[in-house]
Amino acid sequence: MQNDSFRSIILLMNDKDEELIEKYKNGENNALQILINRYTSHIYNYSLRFVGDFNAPDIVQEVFIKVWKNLKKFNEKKSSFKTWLFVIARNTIIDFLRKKKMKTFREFDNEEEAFEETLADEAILPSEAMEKLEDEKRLNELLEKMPIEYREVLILYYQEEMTFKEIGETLGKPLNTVKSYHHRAVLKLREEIAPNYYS
Amino acid sequence: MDSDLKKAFQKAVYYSESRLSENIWHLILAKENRRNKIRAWVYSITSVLSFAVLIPIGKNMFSKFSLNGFGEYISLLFSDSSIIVTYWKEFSLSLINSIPFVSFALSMTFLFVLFLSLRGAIIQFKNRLLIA
Repeated sequence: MQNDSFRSIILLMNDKDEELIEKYKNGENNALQILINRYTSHIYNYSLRFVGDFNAPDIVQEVFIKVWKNLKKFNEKKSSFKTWLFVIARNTIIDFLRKKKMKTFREFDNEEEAFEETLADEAILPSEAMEKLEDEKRLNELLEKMPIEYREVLILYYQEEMTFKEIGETLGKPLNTVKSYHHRAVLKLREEIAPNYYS
Repeated sequence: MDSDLKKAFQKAVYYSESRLSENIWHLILAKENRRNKIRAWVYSITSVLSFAVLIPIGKNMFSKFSLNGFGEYISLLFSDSSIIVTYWKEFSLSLINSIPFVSFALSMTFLFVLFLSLRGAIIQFKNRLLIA
C-alpha cells in the first residue's frame, strides 16, 4: 500500500502544474502534495523578504491551506498556477502585515507610476559591482533596504523567473508600471553597490 | 547583465527547513479528514431526517392518489381504451385532477434530498477511507 503511494508520487513528480491540478480535481490527493513540495521553498523565500524568517513558515502554511481550499476553483485559462499561487501569497502577506501593523497597505499598493525612458541605461554594471553582488549576504541586505514594490519585482523577476506580464498579474499592476519598477529597482541596486562608479 | 543578475539572485535564495512542506501536507490531511468527518455526519443526519419525513409524506401522497381515484383511471386506460379515445378531453382532465400535486411535489423533493445526502455521505466515507 505504502509502496503504491510512493510509486504514484514518483510518477506525478514529472507532471506539469496544470496536469497535477487536473489530477487533484479528479481525486488524486498526492498531486497536491507534489505541488506543495514544488513550491514551498519559492513561497518561503518570497514571504521571508517581507515578514522575516520567524513568520515565514506560518505564511507558507497559510498560503497552502488557502490553495487546498480553493484549488478546485482554480481556472488555468485565467492565469498560470504559479501566478495564482503568488497572488495568494502576496495577499496573505499583506493581511499579515496589516494585522501586525508592520507596514501600511498603501506601501504595497502604490499609485501607478509612469515608465520613464530617460533614466540611465541599466545594462551597464561594472565587474567590481558584479563581484559585490555575488556575495549573497550583501545582496540580501540590499534587497531589505529596497522599497517593497522594487523588492517584489526583483524577486519575482530574477528569482522566480517570471515574465513582466506574470509579475503584473501577480501584483495587479499594469505592464508599464512593472517595467518601471524593475528599471528603477535595478538602477537603485546599481547605485547601492557601486556608488562611486555612477556619481 | 540580466543573466548575471539572475545568477546572483539565484545564489541569494533562502531555503526553508526540509520538513516544512511535509508538515504542511500533514496539516492539510488532518484538516481534510476533519472536514470529511463533519460532512459525513451532516449528510448522514440529513439522510435520516429526509427519510423520516419522506415516510409520512409518501403515505399521505399514496392515500390521496387512491382517494382521488387515480388508480381507477389508470386501470381504465389499460382496460377500455376506446372510451378514452372518445372522451379523451374529459379523461385527461379527470386524470390530472386526481393527482395530488402538493404532496407529490413534497415527496419528490424529499426523495431528491435523500438521494443527494446519501450520495454525499458515501463520497465522504470513501474519502475518509482513502485518506486513512
